[in-house]
Amino acid sequence: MGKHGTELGADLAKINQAGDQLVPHLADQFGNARSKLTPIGDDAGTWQRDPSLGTGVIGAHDAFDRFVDAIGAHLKSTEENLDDTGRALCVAAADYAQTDAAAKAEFDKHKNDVVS
Amino acid sequence: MGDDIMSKANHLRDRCKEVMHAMEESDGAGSRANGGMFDHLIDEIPGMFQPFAQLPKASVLRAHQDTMVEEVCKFLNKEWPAPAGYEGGLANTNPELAVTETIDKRLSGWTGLAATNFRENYLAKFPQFTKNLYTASYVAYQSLAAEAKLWETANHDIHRLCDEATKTVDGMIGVSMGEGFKLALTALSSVIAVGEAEAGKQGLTVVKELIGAGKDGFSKDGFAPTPVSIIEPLKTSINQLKADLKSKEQEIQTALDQNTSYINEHGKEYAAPAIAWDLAHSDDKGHEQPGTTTLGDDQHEES
Repeated sequence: MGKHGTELGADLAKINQAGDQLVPHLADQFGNARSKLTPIGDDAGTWQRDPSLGTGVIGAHDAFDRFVDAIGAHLKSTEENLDDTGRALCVAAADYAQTDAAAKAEFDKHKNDVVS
Repeated sequence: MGDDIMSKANHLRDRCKEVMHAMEESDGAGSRANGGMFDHLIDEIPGMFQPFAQLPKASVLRAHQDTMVEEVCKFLNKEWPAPAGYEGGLANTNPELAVTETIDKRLSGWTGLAATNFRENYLAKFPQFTKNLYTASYVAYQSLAAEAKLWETANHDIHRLCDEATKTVDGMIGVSMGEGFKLALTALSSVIAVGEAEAGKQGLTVVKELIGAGKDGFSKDGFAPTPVSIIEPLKTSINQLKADLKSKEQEIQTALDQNTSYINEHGKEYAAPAIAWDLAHSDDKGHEQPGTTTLGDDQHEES
């Protein structure tokens, strides 16, 4: 038999806490990592050299920037998708809580039915 | 980096001229040099070093490495440096990321398609996403290290080259023709010994190249060395250094491009996926009905 009433409510509260607090915090951490990574990729100035060296003006920086961008894009996707996930958990918990009273009523209505 | 190489190069030029003129005075007209006629060749020396006056800032690249480690790599996994073979089974050691395990536990009483999908396709795979991102950030860290090392080495080599050339020219002054030749060879032998002792290390090939070219130049013409003798070996050495830099830079670029291609081709393995629920953007949808794959459709059972 599944949980219900206050017990179910406590479970849903925990899910809501995860969606409202834990997951967004985790998403923020991914956002923070990306915010630290992006300037490193953008910093072409550090890579500048005299073009007469034969390695261009910024050498392999463009390749490095593309690589860092690819990593940053995935950090961003993860951040955004975690945010969505957090919202989804909150909404799901709230929606499920709405069903509890009706489920209980339906159960009361049929609890003495004879099983065929 | 490289900012004082020009002062050294200018000093070398000036020293070459001083020595040439001293040789002219002590040796008589026409024996080695002819009244400053080589000055225009000597004046080429600073220009040879000019490309090295502006090099990438290795110290900043090193600082970027530190940031990569502290802010990105260690976030994705606190295990640093990565142990050998870590790709196979590095446990995620950042407690911040363990939140997915907490969520998994809180959903332990939920069954049904949506919860199962969420657990299997999202929560269970989350450590692998972070591990892949960790690997990618580690590659970025390594490429910064390679780039920094490349320019630290270039800076070291170009200074060493200039220093050794200056030392060689210094050894030519104040001696007779025969003595000068002997002294120069002695100085070169000393440098060769240093070069060979450190042959296993990066960065001395160029100095050795100079020495080799210098030896050939000195022995071929049968005359005592003059500061002009050093110009062609310098050119050869600097061109070799530039070729080495170009080759190494190309290697770094190719490796980065390959890694970028790999990430782009395997993108799904590098980011937590968008959840397959309609309520992902419920705020935008005015909190409409959550669709068919929400947790609300699942069965909640005893945990």
